[in-house]
Amino acid sequence: MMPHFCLNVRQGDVLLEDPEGGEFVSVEAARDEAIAAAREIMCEQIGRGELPERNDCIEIMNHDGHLMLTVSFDEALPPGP
Amino acid sequence: MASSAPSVGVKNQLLAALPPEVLSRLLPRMRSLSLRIRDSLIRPDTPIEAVWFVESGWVSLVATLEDGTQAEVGLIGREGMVGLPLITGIDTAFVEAFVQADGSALQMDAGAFRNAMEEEPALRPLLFRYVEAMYSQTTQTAACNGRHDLEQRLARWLLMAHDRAEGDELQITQEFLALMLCVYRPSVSTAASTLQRAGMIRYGRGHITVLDRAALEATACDCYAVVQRRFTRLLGA
Repeated sequence: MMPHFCLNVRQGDVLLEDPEGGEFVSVEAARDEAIAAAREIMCEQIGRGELPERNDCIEIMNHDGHLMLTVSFDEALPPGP
Repeated sequence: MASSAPSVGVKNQLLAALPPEVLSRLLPRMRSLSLRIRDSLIRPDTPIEAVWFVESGWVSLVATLEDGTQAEVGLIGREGMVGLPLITGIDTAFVEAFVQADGSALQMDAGAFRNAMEEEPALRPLLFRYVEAMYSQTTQTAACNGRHDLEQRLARWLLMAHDRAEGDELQITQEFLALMLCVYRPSVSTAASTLQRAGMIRYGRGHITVLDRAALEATACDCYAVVQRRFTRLLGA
């Protein structure tokens, strides 16, 4: 059985919980999706004329509700020059 | 799937638009089926075995990319029929059709449907107009996905689902919503929480409740109203 992870979004003081979560082949696969999702959220923000908050993050939680990994939006951006 | 003889007084709007004598000849060739969430009615590139006139619940048409990514390209509820290619005489589909909300449908085998298309002159123009209405829904969705922001698209999708639902509570998971809107699940969380903070919806595990439809209509892009108008023009109320 594939592991189950929730991808919660933390925006400033607000935590947006992933109500159901999803199955991933590994925590690395969950991390890849978190990075892609962070980029997508930032694209939406830029599209609305907002500046993405680099400290926002996606928290990858396991089935028991333990934090496995945090992916900050900063990490999802390409490295600077 | 439970099966029984269809009762009189159909909820499907295509069937209801037919002259009563035509409907009374067609109904004996149909059977009433329950639709269960995740039931796959049509798989891409395989022969279509039947058509389904949806009575309640709704069915999603989903396109699959080579890498397995899926995106919704059409939504069918009691205003429509699943198995569109058979209307134009094509016996396989390019997209998958699967049940997204429990309900029921009147099912007719592909062979019986082909015969009905030959024998019932009233059926053809009605269903051709339905094909055009669905084409309009799909083209609008393509343009909408390319241009409109996620909150607008989520609001539009919720209105489309609400039109096809019975009541204000929609049985819908974040996973399905992500598929519907062709985004990752965390993006759904951010857009849904914006609509929730504005008092338009309440969402939780496996469900979304519509609290303020008028506000959703104000938030959705024009695509919702555009497609509604075209359906009305082509198919009546």
